[in-house]
Amino acid sequence: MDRYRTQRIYVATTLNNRVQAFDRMGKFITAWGEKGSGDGQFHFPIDVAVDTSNGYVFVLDQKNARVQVFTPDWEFLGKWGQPGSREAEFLEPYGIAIDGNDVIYVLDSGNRRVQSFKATLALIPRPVTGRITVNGPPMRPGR
Amino acid sequence: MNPLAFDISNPRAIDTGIYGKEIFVSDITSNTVSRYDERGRLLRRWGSSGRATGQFNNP
Repeated sequence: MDRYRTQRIYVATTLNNRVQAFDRMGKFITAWGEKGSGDGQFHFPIDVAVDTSNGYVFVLDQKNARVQVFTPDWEFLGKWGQPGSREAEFLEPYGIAIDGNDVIYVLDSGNRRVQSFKATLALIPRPVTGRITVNGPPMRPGR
Repeated sequence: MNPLAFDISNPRAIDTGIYGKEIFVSDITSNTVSRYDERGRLLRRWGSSGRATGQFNNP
């Protein structure tokens, strides 16, 4: 679950393979997603985080071992990650969080590490899809 | 980087402080919460198994 300063609340309903959005009073706004491995599809979306600059929604898609990024209107912007133990690979990740500087932290539980990322999004007028670049070394406590 | 072990076996949730610079990770095996700086150095760890104040069960 995460919230943005627009006061939207996002909930990953993991077993439904969906993400739902609510307003701050708990009123349902919309739901996205279905089971699968394509863009905008999920397999066990386990956690959600929202960046502070744009309100982009980062969904940790656990069994697809990736992060997908969407606009608040649920346009697909990009994705990264695949199963594995190298840089920008994940094994059964359980959590995602974004700090005030928009550094993205993925709790890569199966690898017993946290990886940090900085996402750069090419802002192109809609509906063109943006692009994500993963920069910087992952943070590996204990490695 | 400080070679502090990421010695928790079942990390289950993560969040950041509101100003960044710190991350918190919970572990469901040791029933602890750990606070790290942005470089991954352990700053503090607390919690144990139980129901008392300051204890956790599958955080």
